[in-house]
Amino acid sequence: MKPDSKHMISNNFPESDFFGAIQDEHKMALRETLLDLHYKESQNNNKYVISIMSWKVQSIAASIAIFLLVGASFLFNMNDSMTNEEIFGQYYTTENSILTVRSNTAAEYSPVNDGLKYFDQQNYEKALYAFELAPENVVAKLYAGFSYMELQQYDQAIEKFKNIIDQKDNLFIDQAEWNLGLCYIITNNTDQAKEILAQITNSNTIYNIRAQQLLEDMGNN
Amino acid sequence: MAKFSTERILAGIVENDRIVIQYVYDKYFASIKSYVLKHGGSETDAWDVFQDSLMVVYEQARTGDLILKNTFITYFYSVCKYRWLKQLRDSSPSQHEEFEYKNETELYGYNNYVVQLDEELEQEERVRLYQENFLKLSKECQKLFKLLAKGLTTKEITEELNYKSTGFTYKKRRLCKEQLLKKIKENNDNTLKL
Repeated sequence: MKPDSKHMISNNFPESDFFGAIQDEHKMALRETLLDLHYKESQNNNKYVISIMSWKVQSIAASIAIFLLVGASFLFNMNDSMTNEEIFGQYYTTENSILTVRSNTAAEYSPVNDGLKYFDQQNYEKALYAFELAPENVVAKLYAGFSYMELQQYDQAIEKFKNIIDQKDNLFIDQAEWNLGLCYIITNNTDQAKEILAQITNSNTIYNIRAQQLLEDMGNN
Repeated sequence: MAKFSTERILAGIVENDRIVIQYVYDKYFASIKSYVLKHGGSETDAWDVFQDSLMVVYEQARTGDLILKNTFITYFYSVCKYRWLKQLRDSSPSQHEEFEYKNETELYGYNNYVVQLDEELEQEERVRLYQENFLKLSKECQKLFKLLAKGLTTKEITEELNYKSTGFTYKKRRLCKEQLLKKIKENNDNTLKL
């Protein structure tokens, strides 16, 4: 039988099995080694595919390129590397509100819930006003950071994300670190961006792979 | 590429020796992937097959249950192949009969072993699902779950993590569990889509 996901995600989640699995440190270490090897191999394969594709289309591309270069180079400044703004545009996505996954708390009145509702409506100024009414709330800080990003007020966003990271021991550090990195990119603080992204690549978060790709893209500049 | 003996490979897997594991991965994963792809699977399936089979071998070697009459690769291929056929069989009952005797008994020829391997593979599939998704959680949730797994009480965890109250710890526990279940569900949904 395949592991029964319905069983695992039901209220009868077998916690003892789960705890047993994560306590097996030897097996966990072996799995991390495997995942790391597999990830690196996948990255190499992607580069290989791109290289082969480039080789195959080389002859066609060459003739087109010569034609374009002759004509277009008079008109445009040819530049292959992406600007920080382009990199940011490629990686930045508007976050979804957590209201959708915490419907049980959404009905309760609080400045944070109010702010999240405004955030969902893309009314970022009102959202910020509401979030400021709960200055110690981590969710409010995080979504205030996102709101500032949407309003392109990156310095204020940086302040919010740094505050979350400094606070430690909270559930939103991963998101704060990733978005802080993006804010550093768009504000041309490249060194600081690289530093935080390198930190993310050494973590086990969902942003790990994205951070590695982003660093590679930045490396091309 | 250096060549390792069967004994060295088994010891390397048990010891999490990166050089040996890299050797096994570099030498055998491509052919296992090719086998799975040829038989209706995806790259993700192949990777799951490889991981689960290696973990079964690890477990058998760790507990001293594994005495190989053949080379490592002969045995490892058999386990990988069986793991994939088992997935096909489980996902499609109509294929069950076709694979049941023809392929299952190919391993060592006696049914008790196949029953045991079935159980071991199922166990490894569950462990993979737990461990992979655990590693995707925030560090805070990982820490919290590790303390729970060690058997600490809520009060002890509250103190250990400097939380303000036991109520807060309960809330964190619930949130972390929600995160975990969401990831497990996503993982399964993605697998089913392939």
